[in-house]
Amino acid sequence: MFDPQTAALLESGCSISVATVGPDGAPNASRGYGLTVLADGVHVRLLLDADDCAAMTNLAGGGAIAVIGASVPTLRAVQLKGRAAEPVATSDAADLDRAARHMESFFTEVNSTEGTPLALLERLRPTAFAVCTVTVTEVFDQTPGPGAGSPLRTVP
Amino acid sequence: MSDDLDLRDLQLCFEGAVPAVIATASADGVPNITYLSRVRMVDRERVALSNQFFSKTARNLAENPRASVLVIDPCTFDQYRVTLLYERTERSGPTFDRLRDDVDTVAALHGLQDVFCLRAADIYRVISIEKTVQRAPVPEQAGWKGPAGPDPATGPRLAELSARLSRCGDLNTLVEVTLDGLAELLGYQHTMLLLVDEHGQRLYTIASHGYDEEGVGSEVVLGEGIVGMAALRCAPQRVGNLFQVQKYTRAVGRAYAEEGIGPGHDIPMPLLTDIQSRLAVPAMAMGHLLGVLVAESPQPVAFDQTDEATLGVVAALVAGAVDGERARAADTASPPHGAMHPAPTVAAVSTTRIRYFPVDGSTFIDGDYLIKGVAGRILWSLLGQYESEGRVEFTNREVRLDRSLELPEYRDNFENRLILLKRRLAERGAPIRIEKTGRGRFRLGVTTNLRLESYDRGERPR
Repeated sequence: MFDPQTAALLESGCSISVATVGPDGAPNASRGYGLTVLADGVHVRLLLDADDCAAMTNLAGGGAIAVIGASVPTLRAVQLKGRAAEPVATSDAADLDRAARHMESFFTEVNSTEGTPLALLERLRPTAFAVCTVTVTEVFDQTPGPGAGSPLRTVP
Repeated sequence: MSDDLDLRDLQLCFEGAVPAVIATASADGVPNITYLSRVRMVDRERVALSNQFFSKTARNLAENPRASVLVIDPCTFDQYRVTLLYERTERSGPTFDRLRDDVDTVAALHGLQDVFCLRAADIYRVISIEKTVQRAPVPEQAGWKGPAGPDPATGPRLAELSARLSRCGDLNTLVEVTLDGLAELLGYQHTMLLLVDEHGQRLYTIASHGYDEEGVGSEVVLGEGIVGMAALRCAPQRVGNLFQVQKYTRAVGRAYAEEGIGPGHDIPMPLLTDIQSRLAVPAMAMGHLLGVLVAESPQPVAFDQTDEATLGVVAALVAGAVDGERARAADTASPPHGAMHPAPTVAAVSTTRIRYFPVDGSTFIDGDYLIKGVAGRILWSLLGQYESEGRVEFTNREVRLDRSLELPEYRDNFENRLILLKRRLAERGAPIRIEKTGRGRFRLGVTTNLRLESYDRGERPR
């Protein structure tokens, strides 16, 4: 189970970054656009940019994934590791609404804490989304500092 | 490189304005992702990444040298994915030194220099650069402005500023002309000039331009903050997106505090509250540090190496003039005592209470803090003579001989402190003014009745 604070951070307008690995072992960094902790506390539903070819290819058929969620105002961050199911393009209203709410919250946080114009932030908004379910096996503290990388919880 | 992109196209991404992330993977294919505090371009094919908290990243790279970094241009928010191959780790040398300076500058914002330091610089070769999303160009007025970059007009404008400085007859005029010229001729709207104190431990603001409060007399300890680091290292210090950087250092500071390591302390950011970029350039003459010239901007990436060079030239001109003025003032022959002009009758009906604390020269006017240190002692000495002897005319030479001022015998900074006092009195609208009456001479103007109170450690006024 995720503790309530961690779940709240991940579901907030945090900055979401994603790492996947290609068949040749090459890592790939990309962004996430909304995350929901599912009721079983082991799985999360992650929204990705459907046009992110590298991430889509790496996760085709499922693959290892790392996801970092960082609070915009405090930089408190956690990293999830686990395995993602193959992402599928989604036009489901609930998924699109989740992505829209995430970006609105994320952009507002960045705008209010750093003054970045919303018009600039809008350039990060994808035109299409894909969604995947991630089975989380490890959770780490990733807040910048000497404790970065410390395990928070291991899900059996 | 793909997309016909070159590392030089990504220069602004490396200013640290928007956090970058790095993804690595272990030999058995487990990915890891974390934030980077700094990326530096080494040459057209290589970048250096700061390695501070990278324990997992370092382990992965030992097994699998490939990495993927996401960076964002802070002015357009174009996002780039840079594919890297780890080459080596450096713990000394010019690349390490540059990256260490970057990290030290960030650490200095939160007083973390002792614990938040660069252990190593990891050098990577760039395999490819990809623009991750193709979006319509951002409207010019919707984005941030980047640094202006090289401008052919800068040379002639610097020459004009130099000519104006060469016509200044005294230090007070010089600092005003410098900061006015930086705004009018070179477009630096928010600037300040700080000078080194008598003991070489602190910098004090002697003038500023473009702020609501002039902040004359505010102090920075050498080594603290970006301005203090510029003085300590005698090298320019530049940082962008201060909101982001301060957030990062606060997070790191909290993490250290939770581990019981070094409490850290906030370095107050003087003056502008919405600044995003700060450039501090040392002002040196004859190998000596005389002060620091600072430019600030509300834009997140306002300055680059061109600005460092431009302000460096101006800082050197100012330092030379300040040093020359100080030497000239010390050599100027003046009568041992100023003429005994009695104080004119003050028609003022008000009485102003001056409280003075000899322990550090702190001086208050009607309960409001005015100044401390040498400048406070100078004022106390002048007001004492005004009250007891009715004197209003003084010479620099006689005042600087007053032992109660506690001036060092070498490089006593007297003229600078006198100007600081003059500007501070004017800034506070005090009923006491200092007016220059000739080379090495000045007049004390008092438009109030005075009540002088000195407080020793026993707190009893005398």
